[in-house]
Amino acid sequence: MPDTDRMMEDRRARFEALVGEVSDPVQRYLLRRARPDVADDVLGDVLLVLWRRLDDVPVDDPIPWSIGTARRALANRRRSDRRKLALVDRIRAIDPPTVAADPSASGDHPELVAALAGLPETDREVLVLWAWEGFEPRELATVLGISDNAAANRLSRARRRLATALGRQESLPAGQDGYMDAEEDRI
Amino acid sequence: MSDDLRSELRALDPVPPAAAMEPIPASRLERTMSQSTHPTTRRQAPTRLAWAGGIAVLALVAAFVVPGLVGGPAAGPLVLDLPGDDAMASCLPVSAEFMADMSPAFEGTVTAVDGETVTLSIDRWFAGDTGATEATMTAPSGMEALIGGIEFRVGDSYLVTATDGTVNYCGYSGPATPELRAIFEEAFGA
Repeated sequence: MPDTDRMMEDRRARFEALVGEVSDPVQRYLLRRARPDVADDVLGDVLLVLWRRLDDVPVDDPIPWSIGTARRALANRRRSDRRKLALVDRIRAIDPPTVAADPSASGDHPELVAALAGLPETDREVLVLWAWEGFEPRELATVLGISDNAAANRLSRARRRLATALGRQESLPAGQDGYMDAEEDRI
Repeated sequence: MSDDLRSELRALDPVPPAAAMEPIPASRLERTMSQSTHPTTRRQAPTRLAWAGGIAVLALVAAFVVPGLVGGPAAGPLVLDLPGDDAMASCLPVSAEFMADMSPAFEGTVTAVDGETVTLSIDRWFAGDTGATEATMTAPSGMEALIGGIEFRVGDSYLVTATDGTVNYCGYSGPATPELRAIFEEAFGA
């Protein structure tokens, strides 16, 4: 087999392995933020970018990079389609029974949704990436295309603002003053 | 409190971990891999161009939309958007009465079609005259093909109406045929 064919075969195998690894988190990311038909369209854009930029995808941790690609592809798409549901609308559209399935938290939801809605979009985005996608600052940095430090700062600022919006005393990161009070309030 | 906050936010997740994702069919991957003939080069042209296009559009809007609205003798180009893919979803027959509320309306000759942007030199105003002699109309990113909803060709004349800065399709804009011009003249009493 000629070298070029072997390289192409290798490339295809790497792409298929990459998609196997990132398709679940990428699909979740898109479905959390767009209607299913739009999510599916944007998934096509993401796949194409992954294929074309295969050599740029970090081998050891491709998920944040791929989500970052999905984020840009979705933003691109949004600019061309004003009918998309905003993130807050999406949150409001959650099926109530699903929410009620967790009785310990259900009572807080209207407040939480209202508090989120009152935050700047950058805060909301980083909080949701942190909670739903489960990203830590280093991964957030990759997704958002900013430095690790900036990502950590953005997250802690957003957490403080959300806590403040919820009328909770603690405006400091976990482990500092106010932490115990907050626990007691919740219990 | 951070863990609390995180788990509270997780309760709002519209796609909880229990929801299974569909595997991507092999045929779809195959289609993706067949879309680029030179996959090993690091060309990012499509993405980069789209971004560059977006920036160019922003710059155009920043530069011209304000003077365009203000009007006056030295008005910059009229800047309009071309509609997205839902524009032709439902079209009623063209009515001069309905058209009369649309503004701006003009007749122009296409001087350039560049990717997502069509440039026209304005030959005649029917409504909403800003004093501009040129109009740029930009399709949403990635929608180049839809400019073909009306096929804009350099050198041809078109009659265009817009509402809220977006070009009206559905027969309210199109090649400058005598029939369409007659409707424009009736609508705008020109």
